[in-house]
Amino acid sequence: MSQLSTAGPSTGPTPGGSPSVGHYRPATWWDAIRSEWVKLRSLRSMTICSIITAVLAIGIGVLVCSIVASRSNHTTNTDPTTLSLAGLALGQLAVAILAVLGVASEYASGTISVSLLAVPKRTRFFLCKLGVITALCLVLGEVLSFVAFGIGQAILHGNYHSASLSQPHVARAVIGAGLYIAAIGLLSAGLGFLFRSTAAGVAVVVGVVFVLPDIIVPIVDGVAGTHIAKYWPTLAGERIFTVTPGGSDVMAPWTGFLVMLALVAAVVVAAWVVLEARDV
Amino acid sequence: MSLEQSLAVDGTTPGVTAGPSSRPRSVIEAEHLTKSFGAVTAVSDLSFALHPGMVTGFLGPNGAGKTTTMRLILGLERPTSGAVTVGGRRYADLPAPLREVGALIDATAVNKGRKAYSHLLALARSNGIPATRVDEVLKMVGLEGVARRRVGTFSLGMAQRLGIATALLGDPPVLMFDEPVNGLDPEGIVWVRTLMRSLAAQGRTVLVSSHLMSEMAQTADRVIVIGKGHMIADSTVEDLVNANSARTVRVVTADPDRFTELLQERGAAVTTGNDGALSVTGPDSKWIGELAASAGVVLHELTPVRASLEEAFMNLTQSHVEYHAGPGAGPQGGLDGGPPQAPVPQAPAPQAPVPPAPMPPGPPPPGRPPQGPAQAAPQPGRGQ
Repeated sequence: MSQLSTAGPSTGPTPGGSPSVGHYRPATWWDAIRSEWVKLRSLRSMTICSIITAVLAIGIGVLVCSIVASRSNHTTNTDPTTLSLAGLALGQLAVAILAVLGVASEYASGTISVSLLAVPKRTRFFLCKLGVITALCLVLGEVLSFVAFGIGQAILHGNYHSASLSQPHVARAVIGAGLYIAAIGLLSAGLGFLFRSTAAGVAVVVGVVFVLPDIIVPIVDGVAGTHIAKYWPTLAGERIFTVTPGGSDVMAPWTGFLVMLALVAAVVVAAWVVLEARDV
Repeated sequence: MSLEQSLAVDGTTPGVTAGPSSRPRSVIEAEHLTKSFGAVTAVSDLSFALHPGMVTGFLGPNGAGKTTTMRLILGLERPTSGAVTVGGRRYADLPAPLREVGALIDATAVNKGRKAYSHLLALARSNGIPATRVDEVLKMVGLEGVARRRVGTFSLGMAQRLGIATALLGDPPVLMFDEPVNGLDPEGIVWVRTLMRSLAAQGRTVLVSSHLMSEMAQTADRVIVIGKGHMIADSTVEDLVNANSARTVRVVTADPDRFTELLQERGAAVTTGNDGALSVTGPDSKWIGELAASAGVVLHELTPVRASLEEAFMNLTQSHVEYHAGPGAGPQGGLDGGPPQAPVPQAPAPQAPVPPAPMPPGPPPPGRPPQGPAQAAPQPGRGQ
């Protein structure tokens, strides 16, 4: 039943080996990844946030597509892919909370001390935690993106023009929406490390994604306003959702996404520097 | 599986013979360890070494820097200057730290929403420890019945047990416990005490911090006392008490007045207690017994009264207490949890009254149970 209880009067090593005698393998990066996965899936808030994300991403998409499809005269000319992915724009909020919580809950509960006793190599701990959270967000984002797209197009089909993955840019937009969700997750997890507080992390990410662009862009006139709308990292990142090419006052999809990734990278590097430098 | 089986890592004979010699020594060494938080120096120039096979008590009033020192050892805080190593390496450089050092720092520092089993499983995974070990340690600490309950529903005592399970998870040769008996019921305290002793008896290095002196008197072989971050003492419990307390002898005699006179003539300080017993400071019981015999004084009782570790500690740390109670609270103010001192200090362990004269020659009765290799056998029935 255990490798320890078998230790008897024999002098040879016991089957399985007693860990304290020094016969053990060093801990690996993979061990740390598995540990972070156990932590993530054992938190109820992770399940709740994932479900909320799914409900928002699919529910809002279905709602939007149904409304458009039910209209007899189509006044809008919105791209059908963008319509079906509308839910993800709201779902990213739940993803952001999930990712901030995944990190900040360690600080809120004090578990961070125990975590760093288990994995004292902080870069390993940091990258494995961010990696697992980002991977979860990526899977969640891609699955929901494809599901929302599929259901949305089925609703629109016959009532409005619908899209298919074989059309130009559509596959990029659907895959890109999942990538965007993963980037939001990584950004939020980085903010969690930076602020070590769920409230501060969520407040900042909500501010960056939703509030500030909506407040600043309308009140800043002229060229400056256009530039903010064009280069604001999350607005630029959302360009990857779109199929139709925009004008000169929006960025190209991949370029916009790279602008967003630059912000994400800056936050992650700052968070890493802070984690390495600070006492726990 | 019983606790003694699971804790007897090296088995019966290998643990005593092959184990310590073949096992690489993992001991903690601190050299001039200093840690400042801004203007506040929490730990100042601490140097010490922890040896395997014994329980080292880490004593100090609240705010003395015990927890900070432990966190420095574990790499949770970085020293302002100085260094501390575990088995010759920095904690962060240990290839699988949970298998080298087990630590209980703050039992409540567990995510309340997580189940006890998941908490331990995540830690086990991080160091490549098999999942079966999680069930083992849960059983060892008596939490197997609540393994699937969320930690938020645990009492403080249960949280302490989970913290101890965390420390035992990697079956490490070095163990550190910060205030492990907080929140435990009397049975739990006895269990922890026995656990510490048996872990040390297996050849492990055990460091236990406490502000409760009586606890250490019954558990530790050796004590490190710090106050305001400074090293105050590093010695055996025996030496600490001997060096820091005046030795008195309690004498009950049929003729107290005459014997007091006799003693005072020979330079001994004598005070008379409420019960008529004499408290003699200066000579030892042998000398007093012989004096009584030569003078024909009948003695009813002759008891060397050893000061408690608590009293010795108080004498030591008087000037190093961080948080004093207001005036009138007595010298023990600032030591929370310490019961008010009786005028005549009693050693924490039961003291057998010494039979009347003739006094058997020899050392005074020990104030604590004998310890050492002879006590190596783990007690049955713990934590079951």
